[in-house]
Amino acid sequence: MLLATPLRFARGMLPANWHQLSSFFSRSTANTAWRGGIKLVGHKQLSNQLPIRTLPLADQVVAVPLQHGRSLAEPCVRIGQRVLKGEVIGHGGTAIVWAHASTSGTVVAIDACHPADGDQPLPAVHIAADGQERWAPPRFPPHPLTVPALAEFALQMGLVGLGGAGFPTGIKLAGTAHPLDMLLINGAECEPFLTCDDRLMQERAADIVAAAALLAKVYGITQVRIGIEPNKPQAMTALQQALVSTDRRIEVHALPLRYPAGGQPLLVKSLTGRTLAPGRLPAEVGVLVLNVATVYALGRALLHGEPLVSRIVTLSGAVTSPGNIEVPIGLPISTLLAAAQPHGTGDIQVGGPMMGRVLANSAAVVSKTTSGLLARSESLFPPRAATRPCIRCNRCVDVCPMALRPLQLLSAYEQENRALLQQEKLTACIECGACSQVCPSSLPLRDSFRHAKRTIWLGVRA
Amino acid sequence: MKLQPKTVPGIMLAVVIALIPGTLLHAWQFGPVVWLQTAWCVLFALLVEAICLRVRGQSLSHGLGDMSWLLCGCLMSRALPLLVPAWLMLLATVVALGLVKHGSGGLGKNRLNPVMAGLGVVAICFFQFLYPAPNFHSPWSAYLDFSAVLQQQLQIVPPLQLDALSSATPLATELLDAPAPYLSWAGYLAGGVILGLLRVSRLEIPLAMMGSSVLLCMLAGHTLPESLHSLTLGGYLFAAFFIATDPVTSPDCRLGRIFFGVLIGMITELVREFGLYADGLCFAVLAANLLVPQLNQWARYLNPPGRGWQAPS
Ligand code: SF4
Ligand code: SF4
Repeated sequence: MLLATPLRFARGMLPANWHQLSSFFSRSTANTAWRGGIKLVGHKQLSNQLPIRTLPLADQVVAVPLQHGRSLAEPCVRIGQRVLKGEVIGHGGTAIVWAHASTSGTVVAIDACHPADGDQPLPAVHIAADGQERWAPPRFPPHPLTVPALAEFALQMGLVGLGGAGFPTGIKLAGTAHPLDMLLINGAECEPFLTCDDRLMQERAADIVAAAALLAKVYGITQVRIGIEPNKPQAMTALQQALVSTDRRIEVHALPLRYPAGGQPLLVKSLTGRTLAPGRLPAEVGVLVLNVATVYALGRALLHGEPLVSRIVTLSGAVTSPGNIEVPIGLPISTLLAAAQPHGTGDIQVGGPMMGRVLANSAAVVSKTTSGLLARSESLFPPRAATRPCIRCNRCVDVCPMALRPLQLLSAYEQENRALLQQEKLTACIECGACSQVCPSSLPLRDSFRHAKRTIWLGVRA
Repeated sequence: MKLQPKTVPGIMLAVVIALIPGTLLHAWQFGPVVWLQTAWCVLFALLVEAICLRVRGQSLSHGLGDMSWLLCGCLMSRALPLLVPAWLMLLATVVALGLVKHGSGGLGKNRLNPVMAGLGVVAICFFQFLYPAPNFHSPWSAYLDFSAVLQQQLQIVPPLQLDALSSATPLATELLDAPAPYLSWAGYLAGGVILGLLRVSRLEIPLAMMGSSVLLCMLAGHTLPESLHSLTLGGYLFAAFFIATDPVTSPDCRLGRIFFGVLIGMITELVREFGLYADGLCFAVLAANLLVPQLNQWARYLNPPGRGWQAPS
C-alpha cells in the first residue's frame, strides 16, 4: 500500500480516541481515563440504606457446593454426622478450594444442588440446620505468614472471588514470578441494584482496612488503592474514617461513574494508569486485584480464623422488603424470596441486571458468587424489543470500553469467520454488555460474543 | 440525553421530525406542491416496502414497524425536484426501496444510499422531466394550488413550462423580478444540528463535507463569503445533514466518516465547478458510498480494534 508509511506515521500521532485527547496534550500525568462505558440508572436507593441483617435459620436444609469451577473437593463427612459451623466438609488438598459447613446441624445427604448462578448441578453436602449456629474452633494461619502459606490457607478457608467469577482466591494469591507493587481493591459495584458491597464497606470498613493492611504487609506492597464509584459516598466516608488510624499506604479513590467501572482492565486503568492488555494477568503489570468482599472474607479468615461460610446478598427490585442479608452459603433461594416478598410472579434475576442471569431453577441455592436476587418487573426491567437488523449506528462502538467494534464482531460471528473474529479482537471483550444495552436494534451482542468465545475456545482445544 | 431515541423506529421518527423545519420553510416558499409530493412519496414508499416485505416473506407488521419507509419517503420527496410526475416518484421509490434496499438484503445491508440511488437513476434516465424545476430563483410553483399541482403530477394537463407560465400568469413577472430569499437551508441546518446533538447522526460527516467544499471553492478562486453562500444553495445542507449521515451507508468509525465527508464535499464541489449537472451531490454521495469499505479498512488500520489496550512493548 502506497500510503502505508504516512498512515503508519499518522497512527502514532493520533490519540486513540476523543476521550484521550486531553491526556494526549498533557503527557505529564499518567493516563487513567478510559473511553466508552455507559451511565445506568442505579436503583441503589432501594436497598443502600438498609443495614445488613440475617435470617433465622431453624428447620432449613442448606446445600454447600463442593465444586468451584473445575476444582472439586472431596467430601469428608458421613450422612447423619453432626457438623459445626465452619467445619471442613470437603477436602481439597493443596490445589483445590475446600468446603465448609455454613451452619451447624446434621448432614442429611451428599447429593447434587443447583447454584443460583450456575448452569450445571454441582455435588453438595446437604445439612439440616439446628438453628444454633455453633462455630467450630477457629483456625488461624501459620506464623510467619508467607505468600505460599497465605495462598494455601486461602484455599483451605474456602475463599473464592466474591465479585463474580468465583476464581479461587488462593490460586490468585499464589501469584507469579512478577513483583507486585500495588494491591487494588474493587469496591466499584457498578451494577445497578446491588448494594451488598456498599453496605459491607459502610458497616465493616475497619475490617476491610485491617485485612488490606495485612495483605499489603505479606506481599511487601507499598500501595493499596480502594476504587469506589462515587455513587456510594457513605461507603467512601466510612473507609476514609477507618483509614485515619492506619498507615498511609491505603488510599480510597473515586472511579468514573460509568458502567463497567469495576471491569478489571478498567479498574486497573482508573487506579494505576497501567494498561492491562487482553489475555494478560494483573500480576504482569504489578498489581493484585481483589474484590472488596473477598478482602473482607480474607480478613475474617486471617484475623478471626473463620472460613468463608456466608456472604451478603442484596434483595431488591420489585419486592416488598428489600435488603442486604448475610446468608449462609447453600441457603435455598426460596427462603430469601419468602423474606423479600416479590410483588409479582416475574422472573428472578440472579446478580446484577448487566452481568447476571435469570434464575433457572426454583430449587437453587445461594452460592459464593450470588451477589443479589432481583425481582424483575416490567418497569424496572423493561422487556427487550424484538431484534431488528443492525443499522450500523455505531453506538456499540462508542460505548465499548475495550475499543472494539461490536457490530463487526457480530457480523463475523454470524459468518462464523474465526479469522475475522480474531482480527476484531474478540478475546479483548470483557463481556460487560454495554454494547447490547445501547443497541437500538436490541441485538444480542454480548451473548453472541460469549458464545463465540466458547466455540472458538473449544475449536482451538479440539 | 433523555431525548435520545433508543430504538430503530425512534431513530427513524426522530429524523423525520428533524426534517419538519426544513420542510415547512420549503413549503412556505414553494407552495402546496411540497406537501403533495411528500404525501405521494410516503404513500409509494409504504406500498413498495409492503410489497417487498411480502415478496421476501417477512412479517409485515415487524418490517413496517421500523419506520424506515416513512423516512425514505420523506427524504425522497425532499431530494427529488419539485413538480415531477407521480410515476417518476414511484420509479425512484422502487429503485430506492425495491432494488437498493431490499435487493441487497433489507434494512442495514445496502451499500448505496437508497434515496440517492433512486434520484440518480431518475436523473440519468429522465433528465427531461426534472428541469426546469421551480427553484429558489423562480419559485413559481408557489402559485399553483392543490388541484393544479395534482393535475401536473398525474400528467392530466400538459406540463407547465417556465415561459408559458410567465406569460400566462400575471403574477409571474412580479415574481421573477423579486425572487424570495431561499431559506429552507436554515431549517435543514437546525434539524441536522439537533440530530447531531442527540447523537442520531454524526456531525463529523456534514462538518467535513462543508469544510472540504468551502476549501475547494476558495481554491477555485471564490471568496470565503461566496464559498459559504454556496453551501446554502440547492440541496447541499439537506444532503449533508440528512443523506450523507445515513449510518448504514457511511463508515463505521469517526476517522472514516471524516474521510467520507471530505470525499463527498470534494466531488460535489468539482461537479459544481466543472460538471454538466447543476448539482453533483447525488453522485458524490453514491461514489463515496462505494468507497465505504475501503474507508473502513483505512480507518481500521489507523485505529485498530482494541486500540489503547495493547501490551506495552
Ligand atoms: S448498536 Fe446495534 S444497530 Fe447500532 S451499530 Fe451496533 S449492532 Fe448495529
Ligand atoms: S460486551 Fe464486549 S464488545 Fe460489548 S461493550 Fe463490553 S467489551 Fe465491548
